[in-house]
Amino acid sequence: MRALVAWALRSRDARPLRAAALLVVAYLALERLFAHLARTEGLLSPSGAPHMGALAVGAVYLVTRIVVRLGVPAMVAYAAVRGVAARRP
Amino acid sequence: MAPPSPSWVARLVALAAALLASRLVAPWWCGRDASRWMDGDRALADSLAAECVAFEARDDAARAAPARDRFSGEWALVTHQMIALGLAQIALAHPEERVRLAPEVTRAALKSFRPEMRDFGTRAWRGEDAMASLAGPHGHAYLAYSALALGMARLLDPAFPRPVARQHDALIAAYERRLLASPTGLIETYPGEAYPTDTAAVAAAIAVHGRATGADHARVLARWEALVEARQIDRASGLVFQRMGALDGRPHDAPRGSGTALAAYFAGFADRAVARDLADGLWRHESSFWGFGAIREYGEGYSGAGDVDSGPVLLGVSVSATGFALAPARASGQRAVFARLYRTTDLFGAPVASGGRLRFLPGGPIGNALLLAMLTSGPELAP
Repeated sequence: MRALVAWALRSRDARPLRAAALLVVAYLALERLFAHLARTEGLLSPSGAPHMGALAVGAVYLVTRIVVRLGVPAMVAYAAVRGVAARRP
Repeated sequence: MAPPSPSWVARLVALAAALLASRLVAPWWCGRDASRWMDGDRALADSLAAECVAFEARDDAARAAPARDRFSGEWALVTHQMIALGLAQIALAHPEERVRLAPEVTRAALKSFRPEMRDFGTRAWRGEDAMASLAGPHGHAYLAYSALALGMARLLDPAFPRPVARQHDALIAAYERRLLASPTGLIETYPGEAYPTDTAAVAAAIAVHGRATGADHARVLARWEALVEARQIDRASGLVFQRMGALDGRPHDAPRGSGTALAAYFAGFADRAVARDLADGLWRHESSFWGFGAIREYGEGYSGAGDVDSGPVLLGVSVSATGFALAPARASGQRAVFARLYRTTDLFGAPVASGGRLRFLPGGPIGNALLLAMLTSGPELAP
């Protein structure tokens, strides 16, 4: 287990894994922020005028969400295969 | 020729694994709740219903307070209407919920019927209010959205207020008379403009009124069905024209997915055959990629940008057409189509559950209301 953690933290092959972890952390933080903004002020005022701050956070959140949902599985799989290949004699 | 180096082979294998993982995991991740919605999972429906009921309570509180910036107009009308329809569909699917939900259905339906909700229509008709001109020839079809919600409330709630029921009867009688007099099966929403989707809402409102009161509307509904098939559907694409001349039936806009998908939902209340024909047109316009599905906005030979009806149009597919198409997909048992459309809805709709409530983050109250109605569609279908 310790070797696996060390590999994930230091190996060049594990770089996609570290990037994926950072993306997920950023995504979760953005989700909390956007959920808060959407609940407290909404994307639009009752009369329909947009709240630009909430809209901007929402746009960044959605892009991050798409990257996480489509990209993170790929990054994890890529790092895992590279890690296994690097350990083979 | 030298063999490829081991490191390049490892990279290629890793790349293939990455693509495979994305192709398998992303649709699974975004579609985890698709089967639960399709199967009518009560807990899931209740959690979105709870968010919509909480919105209505907040809206009541905001209305009681002095404020200038009120939630009213077309979007508010549709929000209250769709909440009423979604809650009513849950009550029909789970009769044990009827006592709890019927007053909530009535509350939302009555709000959709407030005069300030239809201000946009009164302005378009140069000050003529729909309820003050029932004897007149002008269509005012936009108010059918409220009429349909009121009908569902009357169907479920024995305590529905009688004075409003009488107004509802009068509105339905006016719609029936106007539709029977129309040579195109269309009645105007705004001066000179008719929307087949709005007229489908009129037909739905008439049909549900018949179910709630026992009134016989078979003649007008049969005429509407025949004229939808003959005049309103573009034969080449299978989609309805978004906007038409009410009197001459000439198209004023393209055949479009957003109007067709919502018309298919409304048609289901009135006539299953019309709903099926419209849905068949929609499925011909599904685009799918990587396990995700979406409905193209424009029929073949037409193109355009997004507008207030379609929402953003990206790569030819529209937000509204895709979201609205969930209803006919679910109602007609198109499980695979529903799953693909739901994955896209989940990816962009970003549902978040907390405190026993589910909400779709970017959509706000109208997004939650629309998805409540679309994701629970089925029990409202005409017998």
